[in-house]
Amino acid sequence: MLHHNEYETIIMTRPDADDAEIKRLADKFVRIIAEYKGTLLVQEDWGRRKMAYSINKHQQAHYAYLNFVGPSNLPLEIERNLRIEDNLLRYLTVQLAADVEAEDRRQLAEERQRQRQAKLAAMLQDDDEEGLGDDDLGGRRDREPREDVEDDE
Amino acid sequence: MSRFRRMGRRKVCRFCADKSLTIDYKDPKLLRSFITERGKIVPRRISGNCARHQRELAVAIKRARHIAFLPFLAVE
Repeated sequence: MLHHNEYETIIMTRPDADDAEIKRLADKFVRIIAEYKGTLLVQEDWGRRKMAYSINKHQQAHYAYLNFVGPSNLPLEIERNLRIEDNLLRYLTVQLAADVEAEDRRQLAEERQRQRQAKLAAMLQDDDEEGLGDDDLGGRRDREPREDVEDDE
Repeated sequence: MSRFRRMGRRKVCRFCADKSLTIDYKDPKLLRSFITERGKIVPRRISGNCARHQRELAVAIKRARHIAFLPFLAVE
């Protein structure tokens, strides 16, 4: 039997896709995971988010997140199906851990999910308050170290 | 010779200093503090990161760019 690895996949759908289409896609990949005797750990819908740059003229994308454990041919099958879909802008699959048991990873995955949601909530709040706050942050960090070097000259 | 060498205060790697801080490509907020306004990855000599964490960080930033969480290039 193939050993199982833990993976996560992010699927970016065109922003004009409706809820039914998004649900159809999510269900499809959940079904494939089951077919390959994999275990779904966490499934999240990150909603429609603004992208850092436009892809195919789209400014936004709908993000879906899957975290699962399965044999190594499972992500291959998922990516094969992702390539067939028309409404996708992009996807990314990352292996998180090799040769693990699904049940051993469940608790860890749920812990990560909690942290992620806390961060996301904080981020959304910041966006509301500052608007273009992110650019600000980049600029500050950029200059800070240089001042630092000259300090002790 | 020492005239040319800038003896800056030694910066410690933020990820070594704070073990609870994890490098995650899904966390654009943290990653943004390691890219310039233009979107370039800040070099190790500036950020003060250790080699190991800088390596992990670089991979995370590249992944984040792929899923459009971070820009490849930011225009002023």
